This record gives sequence, structure tokens and C-alpha cells, in this order.
Amino acid sequence: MALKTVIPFGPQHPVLPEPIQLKLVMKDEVVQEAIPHIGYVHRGIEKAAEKMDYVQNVFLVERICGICSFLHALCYCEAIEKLLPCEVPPRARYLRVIWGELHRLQSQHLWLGLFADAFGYESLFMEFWRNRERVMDLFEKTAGSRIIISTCCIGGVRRDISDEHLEEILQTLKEVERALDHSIPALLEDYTVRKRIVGKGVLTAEKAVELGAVGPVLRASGIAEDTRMTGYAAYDELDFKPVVETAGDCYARAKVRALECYQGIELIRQAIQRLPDGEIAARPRGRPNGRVVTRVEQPRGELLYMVAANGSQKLERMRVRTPTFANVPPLVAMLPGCEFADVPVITLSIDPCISCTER
Amino acid sequence: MSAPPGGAALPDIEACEEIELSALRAAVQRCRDQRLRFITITCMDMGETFALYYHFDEKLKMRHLLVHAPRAAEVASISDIYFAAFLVENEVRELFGVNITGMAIDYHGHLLLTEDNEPTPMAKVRMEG
Amino acid sequence: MFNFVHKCRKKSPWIVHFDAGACNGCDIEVLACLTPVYDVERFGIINVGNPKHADVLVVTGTCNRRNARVLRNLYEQMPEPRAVVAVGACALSGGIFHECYNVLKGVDGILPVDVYVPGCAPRPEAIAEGVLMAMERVEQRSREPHSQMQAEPAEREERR
Repeated sequence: MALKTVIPFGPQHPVLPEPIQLKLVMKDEVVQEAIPHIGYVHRGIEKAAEKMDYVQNVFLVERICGICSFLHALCYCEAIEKLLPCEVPPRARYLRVIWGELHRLQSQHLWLGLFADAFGYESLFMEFWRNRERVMDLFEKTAGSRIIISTCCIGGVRRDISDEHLEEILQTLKEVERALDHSIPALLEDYTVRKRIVGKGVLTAEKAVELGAVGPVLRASGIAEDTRMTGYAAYDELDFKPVVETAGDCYARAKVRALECYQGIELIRQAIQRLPDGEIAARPRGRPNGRVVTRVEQPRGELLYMVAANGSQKLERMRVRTPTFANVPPLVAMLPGCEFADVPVITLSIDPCISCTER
Repeated sequence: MSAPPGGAALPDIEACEEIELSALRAAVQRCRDQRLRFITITCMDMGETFALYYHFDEKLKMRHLLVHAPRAAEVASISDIYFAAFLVENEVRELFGVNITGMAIDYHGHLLLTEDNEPTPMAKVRMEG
Repeated sequence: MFNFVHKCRKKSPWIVHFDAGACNGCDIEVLACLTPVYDVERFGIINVGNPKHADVLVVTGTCNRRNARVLRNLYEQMPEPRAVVAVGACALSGGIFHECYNVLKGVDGILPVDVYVPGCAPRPEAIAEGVLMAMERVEQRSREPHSQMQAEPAEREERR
């Protein structure tokens, strides 16, 4: 008769950079049930957003998540711009795509590295992170900061990218692409790695929709839903197809993210090619009034902002639903039945970002 | 919400269906039958009532259900229809004090907050007890 | 012999990192320190998962009530001499989240902090320097004649 034990996994754990705790009910080596415990990084940002005025909030939402800060600011600004209303100049919309995709690119690199580290492939982790530094240098050149670039503002963007820098971005992207060609096969075609990730943590298409999965988790289960298809910023004028895989396992999720690196590079090239001249920001007039829901695609999936304003300086309510929050229930459904050694790999396969989740 | 001075219609959430509290579970079940993806719940404290928005996604088009729940009213959980709702229902109950009952996993008010936190920090009116 | 130990300890600080409610910006910068471009391993700095092996605790984030307990627990498990580095504006004072209801306004309310690294997010060079400065502290502490490390167990009990 096998004994049932409960193993707490996290919040501080060598392979887990994020403070989430999973209570794993085990029978021998097999997980029976997983109960997520969060709350280790809850700050109360939604409440703080009601205390600050709507312009200051841009800086607040950027700090919900340091990995995808630009996309948080973008989603918030889109919401306020709908409420003002305020027309964003075309050049600003394209610059938003460029910075947004650069953010996606560095985030996917970050994840690919951490994922490799989760099954102990440390040299590959280093490879991806070295490549990521190339993208970080681009942020520093174009925006002056590595992490929180603060270039999105209500009505447009705060800085322009000069032609010189655009040329440099294209040049760097070539290097990034070459390095990816070198390291991605090491992740996806290696025999040992495949043993660790193929067929682990399977999520069927039907389950994925039922459990509300978003982003790469949803697309790896064969559902072609990418919020960028709704055409915010300048995405309606760019050509792209969502990356879809059908297997729904950790391998498929890794593949979706790896291919999205290439997709991002392609999108930046298109955006630079079609970048129109002109103003980079419109002056917002008036105060936001009304209610609106906006969505953008983060590296981890769909990000939703709902803003309710009443014509005053302060917002009535700002609601943030981040992708990891939506991907926790699928994770809870994926874990039962897997072996204990696979728990870190499966947990990382949803790309958990707990500071997003708890705000 | 009052109309702005200009008289133009305020931007509001599109495709929003306002329903009675008692009809909530049936409406959510309909969404489930149409295989919509559940996104989240947004709660707004309106003073006398809570406004609860249930957001759904249908092939990248959003659909919303709006329920007005009086402060003390019992709101039935939808986590048996959409399992994914259990996290956000716990959060809404914890931060606003909405009385949601019958959740699939119940954290008893300790999902995000600990014992020594002030209860219901997001609510605008402090609940007694 | 002890001299030799002190010297060696300073040359290879092992760090344990805990995210106490940061936005991840500082966390990835801590990780970026370890990777090829910044590569703090050349100073002998190694990131370990186990607090019992670590000399320096690197804390990022605002601290809230739930993770304060975890943080204290981690700190208590670390062997003497030890040092704490607070990384980022949030760990210093709460930063932009100062007013939030679930924020304890900085790490120094919970643990004695030795080095503060300001910035949002601080650059990896700054973090590496902070860790090295903390090691100076650790070395000083280990040379103190009555440091807890050298004290007899009975004496150590008394001290508590």
C-alpha cells in the first residue's frame, strides 16, 4: 500500500525563480493532486491605481512586471486612449510594435534559458542568456534603460528611434537570428532533451479552452488564437500568422516559443521597413470617461485591462488580468499523473510570472 | 453612470449583457455550451452593490455578462462550470468581500492575504464583522 | 589557519536569492549577473539554492506579510557570518508601491540590511558590486574576536 505524502514545492526553490508554492499530493513518485498557493508577491497594485492619477498610472503598470513592462504600459495606454479619445500617430504605432516585439524577443529568450535550466542543461541556459543580452543592449541604446524602458506614454511614445539605431537593430537581429539557429536545435532536436519534454504535461485543445489557457499554452494545444490578430498598435497592417502546434505537451510549448522568436524578428523587420515618418505622440486632451476593456498579447499570453473612469483625474477602477493568472488552472490540470522529477519542467512550461499574477 | 456634458455616448464595454443575479449560472452554462473561453471576472464596488463583469472570449471577440449583486447577497460560484474561475472567485471574495459560495478550491480568504492583513482592502465601504 | 579561511571566504561569496515581491525586473538582473556577459562567477560568486550554503542573501522586492515569514526563515538558516543585500528601489523603501496596502516598505524592517543597491532596476554591475561590498562586511565580521561563529555553543545560546 503506497503512502500518500504532501510535498510543498516552493516558494523558494533552486530551479524556480518565482515564489509560487505548489502543494503536491504524492503517491510514490506520482503526483496525485496539485494545489497552488500564491500570495507571496501580492502588492495591491489595483488599489494603488485608484489613488494615483491616470497619467502616473503608466509608471505604475510598467512595474507590474519587469519582463514585459512595455506591454503592460501599451495595454493601459490603449485603454486610456479609447476613453479620452485620442488618436495615436502612425509612427508611434509602429514604434510600439518594434519595442513590443523586442520585449517579446527578450522574454522568450529568458524563458528558453530558464526552461533549459529546469532540466539541468546549464550551458544552453547560458547560450540563450548571452543572446538575450544583445537585445538588452538595444533597449539601452534606444530607450536608455535595460528593464523598465518607459517609452510608452498616453498618446504615443516618448522617444523616437533614429535611423542609425534602426539600422543597428536590424544588424543585431541578424546576429540574434544566427545565434538562435545555433541554439534552438540543441533544445528541440537533442535526444536527451526530447526524452525529458516530449509527451509531458499534455493539455488537449478542448481542455485548454475549458480551462482558459492563453498564449503559447493555448497555441501549443492547436488553437490559433493570438491577441495580436485583433490588430492593436500597428499589427493590423503587418503580416503574420500565429504559431500553432498541436501536441499540447512541454515540447510543443517550447517549440511555439522558439518559433515566436523568429516571428518577432520578422515582425520587427516589417515594422522598420514600413515605418512612416511624422509625429511620435499626440497631446492627450481632457479626462478619461467611460469603461473599456483592452487586450494585448504578452509573451506569456493574453493580457487584459479593464478601465473604468468617471471623468476625473483618478480612475474608478483598473482591473488587470495577466496571462499567468489564466495559465495556473491549466497547470493544476496538467500536473496530476506526472512524475515528481517532471514537476519543475511542467511548471516552467507555462512560463509562470508570479509578480504579474498577484499584482 | 451620468451622461457627459457634451451629451455624446460614453465609451462603454461592447457586447455586454446585463443579467439578473439568479440567472447567472444559467447564462454561464450557456456560454460553456457555446464553448466560449472564460477570461476572468472583474468586480467593481458601486457602494450599495457590487458590479460583477464576467468576461468571455469567442474566437478573439469578447462577450461580457454584467451582474449587480447587493452587498450581502450570495453569489453562486461558477467554478463547477468553468474550473478556471476558482482563482479569480477567491480573489474577488477576498479583496472585495463578495459572498461567493461553493468554489472548487476554497482558500477561505487566504489566497493573497494573510491573517494580519486588513480584510477586504479593495472594498470602498468596510463591511461589519 | 583561520586567516586562511577568512581570506578564502572573501574570494568566493555564495549567494542565495529570494524574490520578496519584486516586479521580476531586479530578479532577472540578478540572474543576468550570472550569465556570460556579466559573469560574476569570475569573482567566485555562485548562486546557490540552499540557504545553508550561502554567505550573502540577495533580496529583491517590497516584502509583504506572507513572504516576510519565508524571508526570516531563509535568513535564520544561513550560517554566520552572513550579510544581506537589498536590491532595487522596492527593497529599499517600497519604491512606487510604497502606498500599497500589502507592502511592508522595504527589507530593512525585517532583516538587518548591510548593502543597499538602488535603482529600478539596478544594473547588473551595481548588483555585483553590492555583493562584493557585502563580502567585505562578512570578512570583517568573521574576524571579530567574539563573533558568533567562533563563540562556544554555550556562549552562543546565552547571546540569544
